[in-house]
Amino acid sequence: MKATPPIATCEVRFRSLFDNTPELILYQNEKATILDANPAFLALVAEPKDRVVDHSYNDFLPPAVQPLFAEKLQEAFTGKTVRFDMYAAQGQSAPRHWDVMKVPLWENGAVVGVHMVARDITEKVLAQQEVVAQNQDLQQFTYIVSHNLRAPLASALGLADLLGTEEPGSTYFEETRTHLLTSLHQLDRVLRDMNTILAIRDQKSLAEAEAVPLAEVVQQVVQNLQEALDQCGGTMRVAIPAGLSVRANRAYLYSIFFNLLSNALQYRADERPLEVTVTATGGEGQETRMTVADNGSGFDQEQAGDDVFKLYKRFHPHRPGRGLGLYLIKTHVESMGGHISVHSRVGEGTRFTIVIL
Amino acid sequence: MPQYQRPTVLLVDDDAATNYYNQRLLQRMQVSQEVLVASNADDALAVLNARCAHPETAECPTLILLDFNLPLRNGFEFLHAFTRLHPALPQAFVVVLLSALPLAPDLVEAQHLPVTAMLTKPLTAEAVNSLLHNYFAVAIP
Repeated sequence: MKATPPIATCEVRFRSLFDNTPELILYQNEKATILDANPAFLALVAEPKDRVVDHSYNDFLPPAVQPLFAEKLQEAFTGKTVRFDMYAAQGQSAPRHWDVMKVPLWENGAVVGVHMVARDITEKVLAQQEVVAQNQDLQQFTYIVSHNLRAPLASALGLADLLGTEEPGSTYFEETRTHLLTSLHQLDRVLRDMNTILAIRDQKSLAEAEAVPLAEVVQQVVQNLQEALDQCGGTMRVAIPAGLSVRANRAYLYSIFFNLLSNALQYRADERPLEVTVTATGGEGQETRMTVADNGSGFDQEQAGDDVFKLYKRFHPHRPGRGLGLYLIKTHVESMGGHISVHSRVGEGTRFTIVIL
Repeated sequence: MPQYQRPTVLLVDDDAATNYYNQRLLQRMQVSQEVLVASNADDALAVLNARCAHPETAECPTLILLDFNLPLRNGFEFLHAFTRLHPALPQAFVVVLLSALPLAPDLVEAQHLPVTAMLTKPLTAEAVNSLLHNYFAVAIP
């Protein structure tokens, strides 16, 4: 028979756990008063022990979650171990996701107090949310792609059928054949688009980030669009600090600015000469903030809603375009860990802002 | 609401090939004296505004073949705008929602819009005949 370790040894072991675990541990009475708090809790709320012990736990919780804690504490005092998730700030800390357990302490057949152990599960929860969001993205992508494949295919099926009933050589026959060809080309284009998109997605993890001199890339884009710019009498102003470089994939960065500036040309306002301004701020250890602002036709942002960057969504029905550019830009920006947003007003212009860390 | 005449038809689709096909199909079936085409929701609303002060007249297109996947405003948004402008009118119309792939019926029902029927593209002569038979009391040849 093994000897039970002496009480003193147990005390040392539990004290070590209490003091060194990254989990928050509190010991509370039925009135929610904190009777003991471990260093992890003190560090989180950034208070010395004497400003925590003998205070109500409610002093450290936002009002929104206080009733939940009161209820769970009551439940634990009935002798049950309770476990729940919550998202809240504690003390002055930033809000975090917590996996909380309340464990009753029994003495002589009665619950005399409750230990709370709270584990920070923020990273896990965020990762989970990202997986869910990516899944939804994929599902939406599949939906859009299947619709955009089926549409020209349906058209081609109808036209091929029709072709069989038209007199060969007649005007109707030729017109039907022309439309049939157009539909097949559309179908082909959608499949080529898929190839482009999948290629970007595949390279996501491989995206080779290097210090790319921003002004140089933008100048290169402007140069390649100069002819079109001259033709419409537009001007582009580039205000990027000479030494500014971004940790990014050079080809992506080029593609982003090429697409944004091409869009500015494409959707310029007929009433005034196009003016585009490209700016960037940032530097060593700071996020890089880039903007592309034009005085073009703009679009109705309220009507466009969340669709602006979505695949095959279009906002200028009377001008050519396929609804691919902004989707590709967003994919490029996000594959470099960045973020893109837009502000637009009909008849005034559009401003895109890209932030890369 | 049987309507005993061959209706004027309004096609609403942004795809020129589809419009050509639908127009030619209806023309060959001699469905209507007149087939109108609008390539987006706003143009379609303009047509209805101009022609349908009195839906019972022949110039008003009472059969609307509406592509679901329109640019800017989709088929639902078009119908919402239409019912807002003319709360009493939509009952006089037969609205057929066309889509590249079948739409979930409950998705459409949840919108509480005057959608008479849903069809998957391409439109066929059989489908048109049954529309005419069911909603316009036109005998199938």
